[in-house]
Amino acid sequence: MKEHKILFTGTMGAGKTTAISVVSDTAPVVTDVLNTDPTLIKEKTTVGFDYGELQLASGERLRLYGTPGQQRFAFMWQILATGALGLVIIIDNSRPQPLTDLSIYLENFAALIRDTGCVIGVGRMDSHQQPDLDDYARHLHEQGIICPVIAVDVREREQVLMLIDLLLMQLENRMP
Amino acid sequence: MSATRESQHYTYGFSGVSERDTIVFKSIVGLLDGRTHGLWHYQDTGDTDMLVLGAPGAGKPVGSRSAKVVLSIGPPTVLGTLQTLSLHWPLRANEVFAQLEHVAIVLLNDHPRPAVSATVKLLRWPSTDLLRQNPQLIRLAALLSARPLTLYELAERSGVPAAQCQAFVTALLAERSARLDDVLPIPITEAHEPEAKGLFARIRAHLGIPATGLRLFH
Repeated sequence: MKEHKILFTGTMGAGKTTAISVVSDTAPVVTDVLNTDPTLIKEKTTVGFDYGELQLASGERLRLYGTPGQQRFAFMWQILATGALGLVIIIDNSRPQPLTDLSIYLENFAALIRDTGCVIGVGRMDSHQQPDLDDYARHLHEQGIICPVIAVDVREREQVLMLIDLLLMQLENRMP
Repeated sequence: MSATRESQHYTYGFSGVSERDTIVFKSIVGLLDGRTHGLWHYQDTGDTDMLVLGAPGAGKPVGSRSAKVVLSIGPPTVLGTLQTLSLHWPLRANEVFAQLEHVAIVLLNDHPRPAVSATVKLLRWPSTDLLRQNPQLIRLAALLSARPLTLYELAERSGVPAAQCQAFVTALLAERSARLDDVLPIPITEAHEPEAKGLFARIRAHLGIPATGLRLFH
């Protein structure tokens, strides 16, 4: 049985676990522990990875992995990125420096972004409008990256599907 | 047949276009006079900026005319290695308008040789002001973010009408989020072997994401 994977990454508390849970066929496996980071208003945080999956009609399995958010787990990012179909980056716009956050993921997943596809979902834009999507586009342009960047509420399944749709469109379009 | 940046006057002629379509096309151009970025003038003989080609058998081909851009009526035509821009038949004013705008931009960009093979290359993710006009535009931009496409390919792959794709590309060019290039080789990476196409379709089917259009997200 063939297996494939899509990776979800982003800052701690951005909503990777939620994004996976709203599209996964099965209850996602989470490796959350009690949060000890006093700067984050969140009871638990992911230290290993989140895991959800889709059982496709062909018998194939699409694994959805959420990376741990904190940069100290960056070694896990590369392990999880190996062989991934593409990358979904979820950014929390309420954090102090969301564009700096984004740069961390663009840098650490540069090879995956270059070789596959990437889409960026910016969360909590309703309460935190700045930076806006044009700022994100400008930031990506400065890094030499062109990929979709949209506002997203990861609690809404349709919006997470939109992220996946845009990712698939890129992947499909790289084929002849 | 020259068109300068200052004057933006362009010439066009016909080859193999039926008399009826010749009249219709000319009348549409006349109706659009002053509404398009370029000013279009019909030229009976000689080389022109744009040559309108009729569908095979539609009319009498006109000897050896050359042009910077070829606009074919009917399915896109391949001339050598070049793919033409195309119009549906019967002719529709909105589509003629969109193509005239596109061709004018192509000509304004001073393409060194016939620009019928122009592909749209995205230079940066488009502005929110543009994308919020229609949710389908995000999908068009996503397609273009992967690699340059001709207008024909963009319409085909997105399922969005050609005239709408045309308008979007015109807007992209206007805000300098894209540019027109000649056809480029298609980059294919190991991660995107042809067999992956079926996988992506299966993922879409499983999640209920339509392959084309934007029904789910309306």
